Amino acid sequence: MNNESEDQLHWETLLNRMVDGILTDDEVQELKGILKSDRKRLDDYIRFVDMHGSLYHEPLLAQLGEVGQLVDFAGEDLRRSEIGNLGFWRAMAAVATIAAVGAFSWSFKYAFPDPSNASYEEAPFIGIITSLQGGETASEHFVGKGLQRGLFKLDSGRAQVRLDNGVELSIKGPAEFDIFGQDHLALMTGRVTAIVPPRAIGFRIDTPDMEVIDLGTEFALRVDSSGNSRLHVLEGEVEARKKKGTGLENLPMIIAKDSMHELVESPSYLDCNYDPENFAPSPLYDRLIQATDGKLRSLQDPPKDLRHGKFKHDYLMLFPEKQDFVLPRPVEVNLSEPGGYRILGPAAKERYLEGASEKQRAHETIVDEAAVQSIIPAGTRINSYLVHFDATHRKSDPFRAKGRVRFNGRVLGVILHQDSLIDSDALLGNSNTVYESKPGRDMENDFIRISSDQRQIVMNFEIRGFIDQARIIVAEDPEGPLVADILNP
Amino acid sequence: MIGRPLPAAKGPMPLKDSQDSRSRFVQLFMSHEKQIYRYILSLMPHSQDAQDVLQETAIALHNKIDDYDPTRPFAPWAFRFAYHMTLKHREKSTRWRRFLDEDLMKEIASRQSMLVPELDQRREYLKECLAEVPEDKRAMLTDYYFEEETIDVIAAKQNKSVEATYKALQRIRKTLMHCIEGKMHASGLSAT
Repeated sequence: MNNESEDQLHWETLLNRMVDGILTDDEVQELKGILKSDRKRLDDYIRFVDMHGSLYHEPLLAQLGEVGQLVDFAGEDLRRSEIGNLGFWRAMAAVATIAAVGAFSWSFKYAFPDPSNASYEEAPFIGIITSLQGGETASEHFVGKGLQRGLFKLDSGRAQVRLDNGVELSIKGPAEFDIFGQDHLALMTGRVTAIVPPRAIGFRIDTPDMEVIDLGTEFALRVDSSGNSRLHVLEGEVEARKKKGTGLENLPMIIAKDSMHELVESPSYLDCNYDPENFAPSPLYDRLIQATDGKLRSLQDPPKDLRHGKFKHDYLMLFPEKQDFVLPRPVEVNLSEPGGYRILGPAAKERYLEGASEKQRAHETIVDEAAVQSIIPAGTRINSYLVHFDATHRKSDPFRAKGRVRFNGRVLGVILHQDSLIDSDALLGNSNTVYESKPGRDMENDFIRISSDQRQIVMNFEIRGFIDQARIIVAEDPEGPLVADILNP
Repeated sequence: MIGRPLPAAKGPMPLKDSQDSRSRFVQLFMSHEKQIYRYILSLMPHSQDAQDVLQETAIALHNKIDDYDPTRPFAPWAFRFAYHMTLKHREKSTRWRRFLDEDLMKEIASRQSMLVPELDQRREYLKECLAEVPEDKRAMLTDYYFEEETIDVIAAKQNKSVEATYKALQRIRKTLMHCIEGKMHASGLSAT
């Protein structure tokens, strides 16, 4: 594309107009003629369209929007198996180590953030607490809390944390660590088990007496009150070394799960035999959530209070409610059929009709508040998830977030409207969660797309000073019938 | 976690509890989804249409997953379905029928498969080039590609005319193509 001739410029315009969907009929014919007669242009066309398609999935663009780290839970194992060239990853890990050393001094000043400026909403964060089990009830921690760089202390119980690079940490209290960044933390004391996806290879944990660098794996670390560390590799490989010591222990050593028993000289920090009592349990995954991306975060546990202003995030927060539950009565759902839906309140409808292009309207079905697409019959075994959106924006400004979730089971329906949400809270909600009962809980100008295979939902929600919620009902039996089958047996 | 016994659990459970054909499909599809999408897009370069075809392809693949021979690569097998689903989708639109005759589709598919190594490399360079794009320009790409906002919306947001916004987007794409081409050339991989 170096030739600046008119012909070249015209060609580039044709390509751009093609991917933007604005070619005239004459231009369509012209482009077709060029592609059929000119091999070089055909190749350029393919290169251009491939770049265009790649941009739709380019994480760098999502990161600009502060999110977009695809967390593909089921895919991680698959990708792990796809890592063939371990030499390459070791090289990458080495590079990451150098980077991490540099990052240490830089991040030190962030280790103790100014308390006056430490609110989660305003400060950058690098992960989220997805689960808290047992332990202190008066803890400073809560499910959904964002993690910043700095000290993290868990006095008792168990916590699960997902860092933005996809690293899952299971922490068993008492534990104390310092988060330098999503690629690097220091465990001062306690037990941590980490699952590191391939894209986060190079993730590093320092302890008082050793350092461990992940090479695509799951590993467990324990540091006792004297600062002595123990390591066990549950899957894959790590590179580990003692910071001080004798013999070979202070040199980096690759330790693989499959060869822990075959090391000629087993390092003193290694627990070859796994005793679950000595380490934090493996991080858990929600078996029905295949993947999430965009501005959507999934939690393992439900939050305590979902009233307006009580659980604020700039993300769509997804969490489980009743699981493996047999409906005692039929439940009306507002949406159940594949397609793209624009849900509009009366005020938003006018704005939408003024602002939406014809193309946009052609791809969206406008749904009003009274829509009921189907009724899930009594006796159906289901799992309920709630999406909650209550951002930290100024009330006067609209605020949007877009995200996607893919389930392993079929989506039987989505409940969106206030009356249906309130009506189903007691039936499908968590008994320990306080739900909003004030008016205004429903959709105003929001978009939902249910995929053709009824397993994926894209949500683009807009809020204006109040919360948006959607309750998603997923079939318990992954082999279960489609809603269409239920309705037309 | 492979090879370790899974603890009995209700609610959240560890990943990977079965290897039946359904989960095999989901895993295969998820790991090839972007590749299949790009293939469809090369035939039908419009994101919404390509997404529709992708979903139709997913259903077709799902229904036929038992016919898949796991000793062979998944992508070429999936591409066959994507090709036929694109053909089918083409019939719904006069414009696509005018543009995409079967000869052209075959030619695009054939050239695309030959260019795969080059396209893989170009995507790597795209990441590097994207990192060099100034933030305000990248914001426009984010709006268009990640947020999937229409040009009208982006134009209104930036207080520009629709035409100017199209032009700006065109210039950014051109810059990216130049940048990729430069890197290909520097590494001796350029085809031009």
